[in-house]
Amino acid sequence: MKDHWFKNNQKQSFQFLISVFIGSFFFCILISLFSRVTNLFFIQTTFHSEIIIVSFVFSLSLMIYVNKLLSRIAYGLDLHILRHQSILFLIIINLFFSTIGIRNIQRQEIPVNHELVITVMPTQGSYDSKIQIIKIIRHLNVPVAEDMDVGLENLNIEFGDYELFKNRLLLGENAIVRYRSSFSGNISIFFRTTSASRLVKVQFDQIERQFDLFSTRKKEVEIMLTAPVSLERLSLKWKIFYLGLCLCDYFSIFFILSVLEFIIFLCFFWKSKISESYCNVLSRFLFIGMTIPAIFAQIYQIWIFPNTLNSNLPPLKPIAISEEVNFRNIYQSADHTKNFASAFILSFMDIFPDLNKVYIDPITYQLFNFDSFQFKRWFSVYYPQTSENMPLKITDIEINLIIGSEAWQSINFVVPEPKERIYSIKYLNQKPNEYILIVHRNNNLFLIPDTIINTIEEYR
Amino acid sequence: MILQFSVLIFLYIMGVLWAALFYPKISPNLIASSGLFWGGLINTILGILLGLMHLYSEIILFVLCLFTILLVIIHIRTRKRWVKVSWSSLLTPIAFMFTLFIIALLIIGNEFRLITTSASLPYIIYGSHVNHYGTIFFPGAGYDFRSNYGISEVMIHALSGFINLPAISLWHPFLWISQYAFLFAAILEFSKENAVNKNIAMIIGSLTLLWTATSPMNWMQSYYIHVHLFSSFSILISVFFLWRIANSTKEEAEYAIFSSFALCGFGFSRVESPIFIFILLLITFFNQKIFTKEYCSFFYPPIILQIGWLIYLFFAYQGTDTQYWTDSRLLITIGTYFLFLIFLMVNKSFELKINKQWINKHISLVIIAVPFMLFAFDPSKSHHNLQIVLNNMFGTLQKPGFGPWGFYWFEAVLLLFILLKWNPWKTDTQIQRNFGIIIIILISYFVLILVLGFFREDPYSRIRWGDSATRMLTHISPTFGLLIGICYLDLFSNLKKSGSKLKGENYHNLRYE
Repeated sequence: MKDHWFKNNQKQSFQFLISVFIGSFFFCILISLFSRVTNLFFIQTTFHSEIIIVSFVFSLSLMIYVNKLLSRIAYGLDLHILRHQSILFLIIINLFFSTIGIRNIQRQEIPVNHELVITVMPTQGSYDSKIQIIKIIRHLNVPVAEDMDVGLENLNIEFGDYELFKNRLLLGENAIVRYRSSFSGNISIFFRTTSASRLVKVQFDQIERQFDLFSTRKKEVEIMLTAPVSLERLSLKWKIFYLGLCLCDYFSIFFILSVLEFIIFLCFFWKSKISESYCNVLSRFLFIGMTIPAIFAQIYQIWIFPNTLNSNLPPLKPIAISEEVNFRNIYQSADHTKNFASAFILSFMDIFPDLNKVYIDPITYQLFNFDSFQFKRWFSVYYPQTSENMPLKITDIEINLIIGSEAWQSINFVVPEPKERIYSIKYLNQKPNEYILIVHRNNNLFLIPDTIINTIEEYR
Repeated sequence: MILQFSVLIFLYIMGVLWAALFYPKISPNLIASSGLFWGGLINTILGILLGLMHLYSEIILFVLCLFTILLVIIHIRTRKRWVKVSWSSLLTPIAFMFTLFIIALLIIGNEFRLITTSASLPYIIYGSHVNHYGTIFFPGAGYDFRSNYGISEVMIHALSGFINLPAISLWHPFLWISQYAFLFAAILEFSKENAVNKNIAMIIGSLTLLWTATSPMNWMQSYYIHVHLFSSFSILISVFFLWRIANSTKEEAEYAIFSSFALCGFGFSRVESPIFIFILLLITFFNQKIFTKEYCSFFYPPIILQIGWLIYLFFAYQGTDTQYWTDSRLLITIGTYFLFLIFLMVNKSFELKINKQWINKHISLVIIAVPFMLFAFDPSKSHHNLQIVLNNMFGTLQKPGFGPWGFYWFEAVLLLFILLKWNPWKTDTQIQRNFGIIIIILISYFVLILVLGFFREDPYSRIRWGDSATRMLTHISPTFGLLIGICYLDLFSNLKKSGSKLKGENYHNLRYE
């Protein structure tokens, strides 16, 4: 090794350096091809850890051989830190991240020929086994494509009794319906059954399943079927296309990583001294090589990420409260905490942040669940109790009188679940002395201050 | 917005004045970057004291002003310290922090920007209740204060009532800026001490800062109303100064005060804090030789504050059983802290002969054994929790890196692995020698996340950013970033040559028994 001819021949050394990079380029293609072929199935179908392990071991073996080759070259070029395990390590890291990257790329599925077969199964006993197909919907795996009704007239009835109406297909026992189409995506079938009919066999792309429609206890039943995607189902043309696509993806990621590492290497470590241990140099190199792309990726993510609270990923932009800044609007800005108790408490706090006592009409107390956990946590500070404990008794008629004769201010809040409802809190611009009374009329909750209750005689 | 800004700047100045009491031991960079944290902590402690006496009202503003004046008076009386001070080096970092705050204010504009979830609401609601009722005794609050909701965040939002707002929305962006400025300052500080090239330190510091701060979950803390940011800042400061104590051969009482007070901040923030603080104190006690002044200032404040806070939780909300702190568990913990306090005092007085090295080794083993014990008690729940935590950190097998944390933990663990594999145990620098104590503290927090999951009625739910375990990881992620940043700076700087190598046997004699 010491007498390697590169050592004393700078010009040829640089020529060789260029050759090395060109070689690396094609080497990357080979590697990516190899990896893609071995990885293809677990990318497309469900996860197979065996394939990953096998492909990784194969890649590793190949890398060791290439490492030896590159080490010889590096030695000749005085690239002391680019030797032996360091190259191997970098390539493995690149392979690793390229594999992660390629698996996370959303890839368009290629249209394949699908076949759907529906068979109405006989039912035990003397029940009538007729089922109705209302519609069949194709969900295409294409961005911005709308779901498409395949149309009942396009179904091919192969066997058995049937009646085709305008908006439904009535099938008798043992009837077989077949539908063929080429598309990428899933399919949904909407059935309607009579009370007794229940069994239907559905076969979608060789996968056969039997559904008990009755057991769902719904008159209308939706069944969604996903076609298994596999390479064998593709035609040769599509296979080549798909393979090329994956290859390009993998190669791109791998090469981008390699170029990035090379730039970092040039910037920071070209002049590293021979005395430094390669471990130290490699550690530094990896620190910079890993943090810089991560920073770019993270900033990019922050820059483009949509602001939704319901996503699995954190919301990367704050929500601006454009209206008046109060508790209710803070509550409204939170997307997934909409329940009556929180909405009411935060709206209530805008009106009466520091009351000492709150009386609640017993029916209102029960109906709006004022003894729920949420109210106990955050509302107990108002010492809520039913209006039976109020110092001054007041009848429903008197309450109606008060409600009818006062000009109420109102704030609304929406509770989306279980069914979307708008509630109003009605209040007077008048501070209570000690307490307020809460009563409801429909979805309106009236907050009546004791200053009004104390003057009930005037209303009478 | 200007009123919010004024409140926070006031807290910042107060914090800076407090931290500056320890100048020149604590550098101007660290003082300037941690000012807001200390201001927030002082406000929390004084607010709690007033709240306990049912006196929380505008009086808090008066008390805070009084405290600030007191600090100024102390500074005037000890003005000899300031004679030889380079004012530019002292004021530049403060001016820099002011500039950052003003830039943040300009970016935010006149809008009230935040993210809230159901987990944020208790802070806002109790902040208002504290402000309007003048106390920290509320019926119903036991459900929250005995659960994951700490009072430190409540006390900040309690101030918002004085400026007619429901919450202090600028608190999080400003504290976030402070936290990462501190991280940067900590790396620079290390480089100064160890004569590392300043440019290298700047590069490593910037990369660590950007990498840690922009990871999705850490970035989100800059506007998410929750106690996570204050908690992570507490742990960051505490562990950093603990590390410095461990790395020093001299008595470092100032560092001990900073570390223990920051730990107190964490004590007011989280449900798991009593356990974590106990573990941290235990590890420190058995890992290091502690000098007299360090002993008093490091161990006693967090223990006393924890005992006080737990007694408050016990008596104020007796009978309120949450999934974490029931009455009996509170009593056991108070008792354990008392025993530990007595043990420390006895040890101090009589200098007990304890085989610290043996215990130190076994503490680590016990901490690592805890997850296995959990598996033995309830395998399915423990397995589920571990799987959810790992999925949230690293993504799933089908979608690696697509969890809420992105690739942050992926890279952090890989970089840590490289450190463990190649460097720390082969060379002999101070940083690397004390690498283990920091790692075991961080691991113990991770184990604690699993323990909390075990005690929850419902296990950790799913892969989503709102999951409790995912959010709890933000408490240690900046410290993890700092650890990696400093260790790589150590590699970059070739400490072996620069003279900061351990002073051989002296070091052993001073810090290890």
